[in-house]
Amino acid sequence: MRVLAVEDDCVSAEILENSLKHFGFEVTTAKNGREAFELIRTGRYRLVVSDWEMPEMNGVELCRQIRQRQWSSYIYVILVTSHNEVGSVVEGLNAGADDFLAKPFQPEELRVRLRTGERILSLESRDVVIFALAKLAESRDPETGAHLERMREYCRILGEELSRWDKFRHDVDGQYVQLLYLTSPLHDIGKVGIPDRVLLKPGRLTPEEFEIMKQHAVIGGSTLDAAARAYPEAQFLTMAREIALTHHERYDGTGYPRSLHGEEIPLCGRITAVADVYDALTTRRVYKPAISHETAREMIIEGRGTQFDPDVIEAFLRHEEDFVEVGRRFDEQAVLQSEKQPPALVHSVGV
Amino acid sequence: MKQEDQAQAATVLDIEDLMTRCLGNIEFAGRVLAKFQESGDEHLAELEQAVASQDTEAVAQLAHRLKGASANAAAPGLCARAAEIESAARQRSLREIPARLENLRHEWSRFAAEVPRLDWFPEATA
Repeated sequence: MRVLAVEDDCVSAEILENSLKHFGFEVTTAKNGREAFELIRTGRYRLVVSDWEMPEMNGVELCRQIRQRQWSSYIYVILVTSHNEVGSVVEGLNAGADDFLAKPFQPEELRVRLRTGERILSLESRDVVIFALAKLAESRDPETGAHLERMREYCRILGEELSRWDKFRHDVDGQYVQLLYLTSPLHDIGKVGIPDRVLLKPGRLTPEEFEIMKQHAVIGGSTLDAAARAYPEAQFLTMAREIALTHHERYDGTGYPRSLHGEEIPLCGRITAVADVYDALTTRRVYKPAISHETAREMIIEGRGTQFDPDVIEAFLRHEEDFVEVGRRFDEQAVLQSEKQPPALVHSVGV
Repeated sequence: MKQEDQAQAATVLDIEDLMTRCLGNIEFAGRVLAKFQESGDEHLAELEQAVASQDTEAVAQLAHRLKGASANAAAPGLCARAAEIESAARQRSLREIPARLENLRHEWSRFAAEVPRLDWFPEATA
């Protein structure tokens, strides 16, 4: 595994690098936080061992900068420090450090702390695999851009809001919100079973084609159901199944595939429905332009009690600005991404 | 090496500690010491300049770096002297700094004099 070692003093850097290499890590060194941050931006580093006190940008500031951004995967940071009083540790933890190492460190202790870091990072692999699965399903329908990324953010915002309501106190907690964030990208996984002539049709679907399209909820639900039965302990599979199966149900009972009514629809399905529709409305699709937040908001309010759960709409209205912010953030990322790639590549990806 | 020489060298350099830090690699330990000596001269000069210009912020930072480097190079005497300067600078006790700097210089010359006399790793001195 690759480690980024950040240390301004050349002697300490040498010893750190030697220890890391001895333990089998691939090492890159940086002389201060600023240099380290530039390297982290390349996305090549998930494990960082940084000195606390350094010129230009110190280790605590580096942690803050790392945590302020969204990365494709978690970055585990160990701070090497001679500050061992409680106040400093709290400051480091608040800045987002994962662990500490007293300076001068003993190589064996460094090895143990790195092993803990590797273990934590490996847990994230499960989440990455889930998301990869969702992306695979989405790859057949590439017009939707960062739909999954935005949608899970919207779901998290709605879930976090509802977790604060008395009514949902027992059902919606941090764990629920985490699972929702993790599994909502799987909502359309059943689209892998829809034939291209329907899925990729640019024009309006005929009633017969629409019936075929509607099958994606059942296909997704039953695929995940098989997995959930095989692994009953895996709560995320249960939630993923419910979301895939019920995100097109409507609150008034006129949705599909099972015409469930009101609270017969699992809460995760009711939340995903709002997040999915909001994103579909506010982004450009092959058959329609993007519409403004204000118009989308009106359309969603119109669906209160018919298409959508009024509680979820209330949660949406309380966090409209956060929704707009998520949309803006992913737009900016898309622009950055396209600037990074040569035009020819953008074209071929688009195809 | 004579016995009194060894006792003298031990306070300047904790060989056992250095070897632990270098994971038993003698050649590497030699390189670390060489690098420490080379950079130490430079760091000391920078520190003296910061003291002369009464820049306590820089004094604290440079002393801190020297403290860390000495700790890693297993030089406990130097580490302690550098720590004294750092703490005086952080408390803005400017009057105490020149005397402490003198102690650090003294420790540094001891270190610089002792280390080349260590003949227990020929690869390093070769």
